[in-house]
This record gives sequence, structure tokens and C-alpha cells, in this order.
Amino acid sequence: MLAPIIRKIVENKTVMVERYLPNKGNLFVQKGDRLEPFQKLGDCMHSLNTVYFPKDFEPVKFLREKVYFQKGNLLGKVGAKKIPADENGYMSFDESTGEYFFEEMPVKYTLLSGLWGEVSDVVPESSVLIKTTVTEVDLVACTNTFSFGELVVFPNPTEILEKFYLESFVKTTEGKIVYVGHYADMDTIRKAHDLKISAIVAGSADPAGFSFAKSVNMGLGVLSGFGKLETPDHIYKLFNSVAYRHVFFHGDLGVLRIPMSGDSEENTVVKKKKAPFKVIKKVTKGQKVQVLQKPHFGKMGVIDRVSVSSIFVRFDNELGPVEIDLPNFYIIE
Amino acid sequence: MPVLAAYIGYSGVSVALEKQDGSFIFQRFPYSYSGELFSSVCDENVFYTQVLECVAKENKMKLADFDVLMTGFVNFPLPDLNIKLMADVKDLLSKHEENFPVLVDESVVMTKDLVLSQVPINFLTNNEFFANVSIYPQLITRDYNDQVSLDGLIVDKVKKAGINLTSQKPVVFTGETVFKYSLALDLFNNPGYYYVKIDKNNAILLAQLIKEYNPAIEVDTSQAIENVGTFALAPGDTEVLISTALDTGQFFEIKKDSVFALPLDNSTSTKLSVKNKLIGNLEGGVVGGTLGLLFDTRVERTQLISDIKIMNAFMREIEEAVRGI
Repeated sequence: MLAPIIRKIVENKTVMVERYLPNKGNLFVQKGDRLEPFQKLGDCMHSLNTVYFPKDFEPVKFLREKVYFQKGNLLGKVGAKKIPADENGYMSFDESTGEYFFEEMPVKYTLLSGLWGEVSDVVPESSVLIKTTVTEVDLVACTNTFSFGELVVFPNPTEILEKFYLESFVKTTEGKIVYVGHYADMDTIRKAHDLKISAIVAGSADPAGFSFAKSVNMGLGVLSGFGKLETPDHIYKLFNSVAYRHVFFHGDLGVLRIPMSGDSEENTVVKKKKAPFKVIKKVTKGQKVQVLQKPHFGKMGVIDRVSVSSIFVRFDNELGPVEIDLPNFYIIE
Repeated sequence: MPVLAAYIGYSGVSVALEKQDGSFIFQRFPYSYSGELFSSVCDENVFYTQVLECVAKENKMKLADFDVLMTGFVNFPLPDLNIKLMADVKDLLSKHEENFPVLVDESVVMTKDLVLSQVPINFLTNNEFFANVSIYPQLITRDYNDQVSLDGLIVDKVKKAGINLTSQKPVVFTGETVFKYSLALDLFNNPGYYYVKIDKNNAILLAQLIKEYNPAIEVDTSQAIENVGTFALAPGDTEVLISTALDTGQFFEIKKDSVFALPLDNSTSTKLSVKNKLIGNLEGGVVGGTLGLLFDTRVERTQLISDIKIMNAFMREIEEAVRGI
């Protein structure tokens, strides 16, 4: 009997990462420079928030040039509703769309490297291409978005705790990538969207919640599948070991990229993983498998014996082995 | 050089492998490439090359020693396989003369006359099983409700398109769907007799592919294809008389809205006369198979598996028919 091997974690993959300024500015690095995560790559002036007003917006006065408004000053009206300035900033008119917009006072934006690596190329005043080593975590389903940010790891909690954790992190989760536990239900996904979390990762998700995330263009990645499935233990351990590291959510590639330091401990694996990957293997006793059959869907176990068209799998908390049909499992390495 | 013919389908790979004595082994690898699972480590080319290498190795041979022939739904390059012949599925179905092949899987229903759908079913719904099938296309379920939904998608697709499967030739169901007798029965609409076969290894396509490459090669598919038997669709109360050259005949009545199986093997031809108010009289010679002779007198042709009462009766009939043979 043959079966494919799934590698949930691909270690030490060399990739190119582009780090870019939101506006034209200054870059402080050159091709060939070695980088550390907290190293400054460059800076520029950047408005953190820009708000476009609807077509029926009536400004306090007709303007075609940038006009400065202080916080609290009246910008205009939409119908009977008065619109004041939330912060100090400038209101302008966009000729291409025919809409007024308000941008907060630009502040200095500093671009950090966020990873270890070497500068491979520089686009003056704009971006830096970095050659780096990452560990990739496979997301079996994810929305097609790209985001990056600090990885916040919640324990594998119950649903009640999930919401409690989200509430507790309310001031700090914006723009972050949050691992929310075994299961992301609709409420958790909505809450994460309200909190402006850039992406969430979970063991599994509610299919309706997944559709919602897709519709609002929010990052959502699942590790095992749909329904209430657990996060594989070794992935949770990895997340815990890299919590608060700057990570990259690549919905287009279906992976979460975690930059690796390249220090001695992480380097040892680099030397081991150079051989080409084998994706098909003979099924034998003792192999670790992920089971895709109810009521054990998503669980990891070890093959106890192999029969003609099924295998018998032993799980941690089960008394005896359970029969699983071919092809409702994958070998895990 | 011996040949290795492969069919890449929606949820697996079927292979016909020529042995040294010229006979063929038919095998099925029940997994397919899933971008969600493998894109970070390999592409389709690496995956399917390794599948064929491992299948050859399991049979104590090397892939390099074969002429590789390929068919299926292949819309990606396979440069590592050194393919000698790549053929279109529709062409192979059209050229097959002996039977009437019907290819059924989750993304397409195809006969020599029509291609019903090339668009995969949108699995990302609120149904968790379908959502998981979109990630793990090979999944088979033991859950009755999931099975009803999955088969229902195929049956609905065929019925909504207004397709009536009719053929004087034996109808062979092939493709990647884990084919069940109930699904085969549901795909027929018109009253009449149909001799049904199920080809779980896509042997029909592979044999035709080999024939295209070298007409001199003889491929025996008899062991790879299951002769299920004759399906007699007679809606309403039905009177039946069956007789063989060896006996005097047997007469019985079948009430409407039921399924009834009569054990009958495929070694002798049996004369069958059916009297039915809706369709009149039908007469002809039939042969049996694994299920024998199956009568379906349902007037409303809803999905068989969705009606627990009639499905239970059907399962009992199958069990008795198989035991009888």
C-alpha cells in the first residue's frame, strides 16, 4: 500500500522577501548587507489613515488644493450628518475619482527588517529585497491575502477562552497575525475582523466563517481542515517557540513563513534537509499518520498494523487501534 | 518495451502495467495532487512521477523500463515522465466500440456524446464534508448523510441537464467516483433493460489508450471490470416471466415503488418478459452478474439513497442476490 507524505512544516527554505516603504523615502542598506530583525532599513513620511468620503459629501468650503484641518474642526456634511476631523490632517480632492479625502498628518514611518538575512537588491527610495531562511507552515486552506506582522500565540483554548483572549489583547492585536487555537468559529473570525487583526491562523474553521473572511479580504489560514479539528501538536509547539516573531502570511502560496535566525540551533536542521523531498511512501507499521475519517478526523496517530485496503491506527487517548480506510489518511513527516 | 498506461483523475491515478509475459496488472493509487497540501514541497510533475515510480517499484520493476502512456485531466506539464503518447479522455471514450462508457467523477460526467461539466463542484459551502473534500479530494465517507449529499450532486447534475442514458450496448461506469450500485441505478431515467458494468480501475480508458499506441497489444480487462448485471426499469406494478433453456420458467409480480433483485450469473442468457401498464410489454434476452437481475419499479425517480425505507430494502435485496449467486 502506498500513500502520500504531508510535510506540515518545511524547515530552512531559502526565499526572497521584499520589504518596502509605503511612500518614497530613504533607505539605509546596500546590496550584500547582513540584516538582523530590528535593523532599520529605511524611513519615510506616511499618513497612517486616509478616509475617502462618499460622492454626496459637501465640504465646508469648495477646495481643489490641500487644506489643513485641526482635530475637531468641521470638514463637511453627508446629508444632515456633520463630519469633523478625527485627527490633525489635510483634506484634498482626488481628481481621478471625483471624491474628497482626508489624510492624517503624516508621521515618520520606520521600516524594520523583521528577519535575518542578506540584502539581495535595492530599489532606491522604495524597497529592499532580502534573501532569508524561513520555516514554512502549510495552511491546508486559506484566504488569498498577504500580510505580515508579529505572531501572537494563544493557548489551545476552549471557545469561551478564545473570546476572552481576543478581548484581553484588544489594544495590541491590530495588524498582528494571531494563532487563535484549535477552532475558529464565526464569532471569533468576526471579532478578529473588528479588531483589525491582519490574519488569524487556527487548527480548523467554520466553513461559513471562512467564506466571511474571504468576503472581507481578511487573512485566515487553517492547519487541518474544516469542522472542529485539532491543531497538530508539533505545529503548536513551533508556534509557541516563535511567538512574537515577525511572520509572513502568504495566502496565495498557502503558507505561513516564519523567518529563522540562522543561529547554531536552527542551523543544525539546515544541513539535514537538503535532499529532495519524497512525496510517496510505502505504508508501514509505526508511521505517524493524520486521519481524515470521522470521528477521528484531523487527529494524528501511529499505524499499528496495515491490512489490504485499510490501516489500524493507535491514538493517544484510545484503548485499542481504530480501522481507517485507504485513502482517508496521509503519512506525516 | 513494455507499456505503462496511466489515467490521472480528480481523486486518484489508475495504472495498467504490462508484465513480462504480456499480461496486464491494473492498479489504482487513490490520491491525487492537491495544491493546498503539496505546493510548498512539489508540483504536479514531481508528484505524479513519484507515484508512477512507486507503482512500478511495488511491482518490482523500474519506470524507466516502460513506454509511458498518459490520459486524464492533465492541464500541467509532466516533463520528467518522457510520455510516448498523451491522449484526450473524450477521444478514448469515443473510440471505444464494445461498450457504452460513462465517466463519472466529482468534476465531470462524460460519455462519447457529451461532456456535462468540466467545472468542479463548488465545495466551499457550509457543509463541512464538502469543504474538506475541496482540500482532500480523495476522501471517502462512512457518513450516510454525506454520501447522500455527494451522490445527490452527481445525480442532480445529470438530471438537471436532462440527460437520459440509453444504449443497446452494456453501460460501463468508469471514472474516479467510488461507484455504488444505487448511484448507477439513479443515473438511468428511461424505462428499459440496461446491462451494467462498473470499472473501478478505469481499465476501459487504459486499454483504449494502449490500443491507440499499439493496436497489436491485447489487453484483457475482464478481471478489472465488474459485471453487475441487468437493470430493468419498469415504473409501476410489473409482471415478470423469466425462463432459460434449462427450466420451464418462473412468473412473479413486483409491486410499484420497489426494487427487487434476482440472483442470476452471467454464464447463461435468460429470456425475460415484462408486462407493465406504463411501458407495455418488453421482451428480450438478459444476462446477470454480481447483482443478477435488478428490477426498479419506482414511478418517481428520486435519489434512491435518500429514501431510507427503499434503500434498506435495496440493501437486503443486494445481499440476498449476491448470496444467491
